[in-house]
Amino acid sequence: MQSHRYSLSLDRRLKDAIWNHMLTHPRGHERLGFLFTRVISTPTHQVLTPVEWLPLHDADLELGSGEALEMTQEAQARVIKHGHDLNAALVEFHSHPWDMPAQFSGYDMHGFSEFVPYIRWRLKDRPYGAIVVSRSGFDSLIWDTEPDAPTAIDPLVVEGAILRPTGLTLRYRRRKYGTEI
Amino acid sequence: MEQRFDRNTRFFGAAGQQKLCASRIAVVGAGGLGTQVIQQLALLGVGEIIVIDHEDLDTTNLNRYVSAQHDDPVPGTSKVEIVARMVARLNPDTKVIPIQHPLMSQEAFDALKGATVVFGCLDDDAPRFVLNEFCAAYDMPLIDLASDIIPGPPLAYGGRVAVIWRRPGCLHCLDLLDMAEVAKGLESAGQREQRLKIYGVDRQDLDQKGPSVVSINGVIASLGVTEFMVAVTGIRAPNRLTTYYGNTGKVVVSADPPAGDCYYCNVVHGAGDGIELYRYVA
Repeated sequence: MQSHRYSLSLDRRLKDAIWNHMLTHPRGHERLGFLFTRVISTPTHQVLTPVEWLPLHDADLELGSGEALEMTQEAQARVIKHGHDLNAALVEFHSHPWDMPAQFSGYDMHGFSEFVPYIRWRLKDRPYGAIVVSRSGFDSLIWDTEPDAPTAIDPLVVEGAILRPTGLTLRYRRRKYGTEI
Repeated sequence: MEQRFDRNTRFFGAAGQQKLCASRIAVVGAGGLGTQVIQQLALLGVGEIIVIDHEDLDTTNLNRYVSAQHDDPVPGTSKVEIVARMVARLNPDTKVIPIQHPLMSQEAFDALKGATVVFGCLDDDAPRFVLNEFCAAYDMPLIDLASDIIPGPPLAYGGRVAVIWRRPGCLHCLDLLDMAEVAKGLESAGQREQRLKIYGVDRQDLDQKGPSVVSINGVIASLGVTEFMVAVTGIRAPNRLTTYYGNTGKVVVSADPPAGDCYYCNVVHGAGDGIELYRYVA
């Protein structure tokens, strides 16, 4: 089955709140947060529209060495329960708070390979989106019909302004695997 | 000096020897592989070797640790101290900078920044992953060595040398890292507790010490140092991936190109301090 095309619609205030949370940790650490969304079908694509933004804080995270940014069990249970209560599709935001082009790391992709099937199972197979934010842009993925073949959330629409992901993660996957699998 | 390296210069010339003498090599991991790499680097005449290893010698190392003496106190003798002693005896013109700290420490990162080439001689994929990212960020050539014996049946043994001399191409996009092992190695105590609660204790975690012998380490160390030597002296471009299959006695050079647009070759590469690798420091 072919994956749908997705866009995400945000108002300016929410976009600024998300980006501000992502890029302003007092010690420059990575950040994590979840946008609970509804999926609205249009003739051409699926539009993710925000229901609620949940920024996570240091107390919600288990910090390993460097890249190992994971939620505590309590935070994970809270996010899943809230997603369930709201009947929402989740869009995860995390940051690479550096002046680099935005791209999901190999470590991120490994994490998704374990986490996405689990959370989609818990949330009735609704799509799961992920956006990585750097100081210079963002990249996006969304898992929908094919569990191992994410596509992009493209574009982000902020009050009519079109923001495009770097697309670097999918480009790497295409070059590496020949397809988006 | 000229006499000492006469047989070297007959191979790669005085200019090649000068390049080796001007090299500042970091060796991360002074174990079974690292100690043989360091021995050969000293004999080649490299100018300076930064040795990073926080461990002390253990009695079970003595079957393959080329420079350890039978009466070195165990416990109580650091690995970096042993290799410094070895190099001083082999070639006092090679300076050793011993860093008795783990890779993920301020001391090791600071020391690594001064290297012209880095050798990874590590046992585990988590520090290997960090070293790969470090070398990408600071645009340093990385020669990563791994040897392995997988008890059978079927018994398999050998190893490989990955030379990251030019990009694209790194341990990540060449598929040389087991990301599940990396994730385990980088998790916090809390994450580990959570994982063990769900999955139980891995068999590997119960029996971490596998077989390891001097001769297989020697083959891999020699392949790695040879790739370094040909690259530095300009004899030829180094091979990106060389695999030694001990079962059949074959050495195979891979011609597979790496995928482009890898996060580490593309985004991290050349970022230097901008990527904040010190986040790995505990």
